[in-house]
Amino acid sequence: MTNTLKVERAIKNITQEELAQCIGVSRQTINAIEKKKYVPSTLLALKIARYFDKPVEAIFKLEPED
Amino acid sequence: MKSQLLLPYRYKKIGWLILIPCLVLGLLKWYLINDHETLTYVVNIYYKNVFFDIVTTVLIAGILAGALLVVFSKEKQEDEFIQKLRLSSFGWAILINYLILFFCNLLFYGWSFLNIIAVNMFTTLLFYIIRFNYLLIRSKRL
Repeated sequence: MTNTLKVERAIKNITQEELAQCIGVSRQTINAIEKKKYVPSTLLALKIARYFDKPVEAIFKLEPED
Repeated sequence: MKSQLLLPYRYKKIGWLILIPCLVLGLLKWYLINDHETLTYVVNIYYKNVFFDIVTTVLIAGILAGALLVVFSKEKQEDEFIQKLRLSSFGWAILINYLILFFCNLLFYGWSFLNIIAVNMFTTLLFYIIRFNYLLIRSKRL
């Protein structure tokens, strides 16, 4: 799964730490998602999408091998 | 994410404060003092005619209690990714621990194997602590 979290974060101009605090997770989690090392749960994906005020599919996308 | 099994974060600090001194003293006692029996305090409180080394008992209790507190306390911000690290660290620690034990069983006999069993009391927890903290630090890096 790929994601545009880093881009969205750059548009809003917030750090990983700030985003993590807003959503209520650790900074490691945001970092791991951005590095594609962790696929978030549906709950977390929905929270992130709600924070950026976009549908989940605009941030998280399936890749051909998924 | 709610998890029932974990203690609040402050117990982690208490755990470290118990674990580190007990581990250092335990290693010192094991390597340096074990051969000189005069230096160990031997008391019998509960049983008549049964002598045991209270220092060893206290140190083992301290290491186990400290390690358990460190292992079963929440991180500052406990979330699903941390729980994933936790689970994978548990699997890793148990696998490594038993692989080592398996080969030690083939290679060592008698008292040396008994010593390994004694150390093995702590290694699952210690391997977990090492692996979990390594993963945590690694995932902190940008």
